[in-house]
Amino acid sequence: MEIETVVRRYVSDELMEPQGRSASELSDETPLFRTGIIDSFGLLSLVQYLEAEFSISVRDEEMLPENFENIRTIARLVRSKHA
Amino acid sequence: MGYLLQHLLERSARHMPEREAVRMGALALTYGELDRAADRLAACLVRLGLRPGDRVGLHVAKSVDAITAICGVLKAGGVYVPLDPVAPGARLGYILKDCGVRIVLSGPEESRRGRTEPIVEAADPLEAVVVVGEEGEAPRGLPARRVVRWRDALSDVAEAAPCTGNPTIDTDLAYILYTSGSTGEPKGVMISHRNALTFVDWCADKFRIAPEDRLSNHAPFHFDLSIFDVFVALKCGASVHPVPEGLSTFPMRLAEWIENERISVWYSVPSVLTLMALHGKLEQRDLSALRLVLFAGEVFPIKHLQSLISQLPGPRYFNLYGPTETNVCTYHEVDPRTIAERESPLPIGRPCANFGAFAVTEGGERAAVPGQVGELLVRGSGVAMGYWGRPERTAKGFVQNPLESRFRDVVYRTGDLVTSDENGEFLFLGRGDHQIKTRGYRVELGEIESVLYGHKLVREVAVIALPDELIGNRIRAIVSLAEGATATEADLQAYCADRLPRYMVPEVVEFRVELPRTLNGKVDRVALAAATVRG
Repeated sequence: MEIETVVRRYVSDELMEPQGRSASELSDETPLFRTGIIDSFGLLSLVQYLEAEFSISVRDEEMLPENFENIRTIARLVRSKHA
Repeated sequence: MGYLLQHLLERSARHMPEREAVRMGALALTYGELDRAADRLAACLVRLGLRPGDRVGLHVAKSVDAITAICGVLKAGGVYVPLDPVAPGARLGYILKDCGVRIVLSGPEESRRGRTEPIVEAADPLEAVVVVGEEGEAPRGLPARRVVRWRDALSDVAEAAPCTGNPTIDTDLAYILYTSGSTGEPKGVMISHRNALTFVDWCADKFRIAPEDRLSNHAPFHFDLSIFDVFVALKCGASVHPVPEGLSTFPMRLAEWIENERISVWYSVPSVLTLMALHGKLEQRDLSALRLVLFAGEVFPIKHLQSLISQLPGPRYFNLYGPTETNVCTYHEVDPRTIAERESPLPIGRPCANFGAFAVTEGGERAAVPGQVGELLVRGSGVAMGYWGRPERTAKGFVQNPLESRFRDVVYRTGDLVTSDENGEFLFLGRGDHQIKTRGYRVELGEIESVLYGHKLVREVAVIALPDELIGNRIRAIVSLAEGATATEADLQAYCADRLPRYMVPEVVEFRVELPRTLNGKVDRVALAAATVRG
């Protein structure tokens, strides 16, 4: 499955649904922080999920807004680990 | 003179008008500027019809202007009621109605971060909304008869009027903080100027805050940790530095911010410090300016505290304790010599100045022997004035001291079970009811149950809390639906999210045909929690 699809599913099911947010407007460019979809604890659970799902390791130095701005940048981070 | 919170600002502005009072990024105000801006805002509020004792909603994200807004309301004799801009509209609407707010100081539409539902119905508009900040439109969810722009509010030059004519005394209310209520509705804790000053004076003295100090402001304004940040800074002529929204999501960025702002006093819930200890790369930062780290709101997991202190041995560390009804009433300083060996959680410590705290056993006796368990009762001028508009609830929580029959002495029943150690310091053991902490926020599980019971398909529900290392507790709802009904986890989460703040929405909703019962017919929460832990 495409990385974007996997990430999108996690963001919508695990982060947006518990907040009662409709995932129908979620696109790969939806900003995840300004909208409050991801907070600090959401970021950690997302990172743990990515690490397990894609067998990668995300360093603390990589937990930065530019890498987690939206689904596209998250997928790019994952892809860079696989390259 | 100095018996009202705004006097703290006025005095510092007189003595050091050029010193910086508040800074956020490139924006800053000196004490002189802050005092003048707050005077003008106060004059504007009076002109809008604010009378002494009126409640004013404060619906703002963190900003320099938010500090002006707080001070302006107090100078006008108003009582500020902080509202979380990202909370559901229905909840904020309830709060505004509950305490009769007619004027709201609000950030622009953007501060609602994509929330679009109304807070106030168009048919019943507010008297006035003042749009805080330089730009942006008033939120659509807050219809009002009059909308005043910030620059117009601050150009009001009838400066002297509000302060001279303000009849506020120190037992009048300064602010109301809404907190989770077990019966399903949030209740407003009323804090007077004297209540707040009791705490602020103790802090200034105990922590020797000086004009050179730079205080972080991490907690939102509806959380009483912010009282320390704002008013202790104002009293001491120090500067307060609101943490930009979103920045605390990234532990490394937060650590970098502390370094760049040269923060000397940090105060937050433990979970934020835990995140920095785990992922903040603190050893790469120069945090030598940091001399004090204060935390409150929940139990700090001892291994994360040890990790934090080993990475950052410079500052003194204090565990502060107290419910909203007393603000901080006891404290404990971490002993750097023994912390590495400690296995049990920190004590909550001993009473702050001008507070009395003692434990009373179920039999009504004072628990005086170490190890004896009792409910912690708190007395003193920091104890709140009660709950807004709820005399019965107030009478239950704020009672005559059971050990004093000769004069009137009100104590607050915290509901927290404590014992004392061999040094005479209190240890927090837990609660005898269904109140929990998550991310430092206080949550009544009964309030979540009551919301879910309002859903037409829900026949029965139990909400339980599962202990969690990082955030204290995770919330899970176990639901049995009406016969033949179907609903998904997402449906019920959405239903909750329209009515409850984010930290109260159950992370997991589990469906069962029947809820397990104890022998006397009550829902068996212990069995539910045990089943969940087993997976």
